[in-house]
Amino acid sequence: MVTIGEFGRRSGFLPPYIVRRLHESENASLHNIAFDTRELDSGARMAREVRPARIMGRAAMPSVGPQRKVYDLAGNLDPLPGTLSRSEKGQPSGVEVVEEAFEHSGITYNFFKKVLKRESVDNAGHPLISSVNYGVHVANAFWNGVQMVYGSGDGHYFLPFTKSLGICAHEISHGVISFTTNLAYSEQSGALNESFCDVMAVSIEQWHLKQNAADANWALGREVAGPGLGQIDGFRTLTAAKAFEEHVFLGTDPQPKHLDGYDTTSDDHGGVHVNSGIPNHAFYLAAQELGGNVWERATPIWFEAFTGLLNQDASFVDAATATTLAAKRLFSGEPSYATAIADAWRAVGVQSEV
Amino acid sequence: MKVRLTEKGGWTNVRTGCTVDTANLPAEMAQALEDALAHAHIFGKHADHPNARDARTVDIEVKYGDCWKRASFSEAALPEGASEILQILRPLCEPIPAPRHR
Repeated sequence: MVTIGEFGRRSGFLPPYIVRRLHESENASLHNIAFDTRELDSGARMAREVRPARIMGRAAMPSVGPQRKVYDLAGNLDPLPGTLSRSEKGQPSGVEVVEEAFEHSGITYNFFKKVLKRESVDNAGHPLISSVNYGVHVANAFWNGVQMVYGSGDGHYFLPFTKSLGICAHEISHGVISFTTNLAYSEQSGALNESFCDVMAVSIEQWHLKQNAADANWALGREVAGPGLGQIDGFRTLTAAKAFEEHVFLGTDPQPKHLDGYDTTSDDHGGVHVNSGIPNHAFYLAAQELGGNVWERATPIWFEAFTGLLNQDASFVDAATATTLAAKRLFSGEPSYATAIADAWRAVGVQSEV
Repeated sequence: MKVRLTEKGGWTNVRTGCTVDTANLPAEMAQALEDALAHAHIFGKHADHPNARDARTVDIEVKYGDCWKRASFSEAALPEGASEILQILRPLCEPIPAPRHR
């Protein structure tokens, strides 16, 4: 397997040493300037054609270590990020949701660094900023283009979203995509964006728990289901099963597992959280066929394809083709891997073009 | 006055919402909600947050006379005054089963 690194060349609006200084500042506004600069830089970079040759010969960035900052909004919705409650050099806050966000950001950082050789979301050590206790009774977590934002739920149907490593990993993965292929958040490319984040989330959970593909639980989000929802395995699963069926409050898990079930809804940016079930299941099938630990086989292939080979408006066919191509390149001595991946996509109704 | 809040999409993709009649709310809460609605600028076209991911779509519908008027925006780009309305209504919300898909 070849070493995974990252694109070496950057061009920015501010000199890199100034951006680095801004990153290191305790002032949240200065962080944002640094982040905005890198996002603009990323956008300009992604406007250029993404070529398969990019996956070869990347140079790993020197490690700067995790730069985590957790802010507490104390039930307010604004202004972000809130009051700094925990930073890398600081003492534990004693606030459970703050410490959960801090801990899960660290695990996710370590996964990207140790397994995929990526230094934070921008591959340049950008701080992982979280705001917790967002509003009252907020049952969601999101990436706002700069940082993670976590609601604390209502305590009955939903628990604090900081409780889930998978949710934290999912949101940070949105940051990774925004700095790489920046998959458009609509229709099939949006579903691929969501799917990449789910794939990274299950991979990080399995890596953290040292579970192999055969033994792992492939559902996400069970940690934030409150007692009012009863026993559910998660809010979605990458397996062929439904995460929940005919649930009194949730109905039936709407994710399709085959292209035949593609939902053409206009809701949720064209059903990005629904149709992601199709590429999610392709990953699951590929991982089962490749066996072993996902983070050693299927995950690096998906990471290379989704962060290096796809264009912004990629389709499911593009993703099937890119992952098959990435398998050929990363595992040239194991031709059965590319075959297994093409077969997995075919099983969900998507034909690879290689 | 009847007010309906629906939030959809988001990480869980679970729809949540509530419908309230201010006549049935505690007086202080009803007054706070009516004041918040009177001072908010939620109706009309709102810019989306192009870089937000997993943010829910917020729909607030208010019944004026016989007509419902709807505001729709991203929770990552709240229009002026929306925060106050959400802070009042969100504690009243419950999950809503999604319509069955194919």
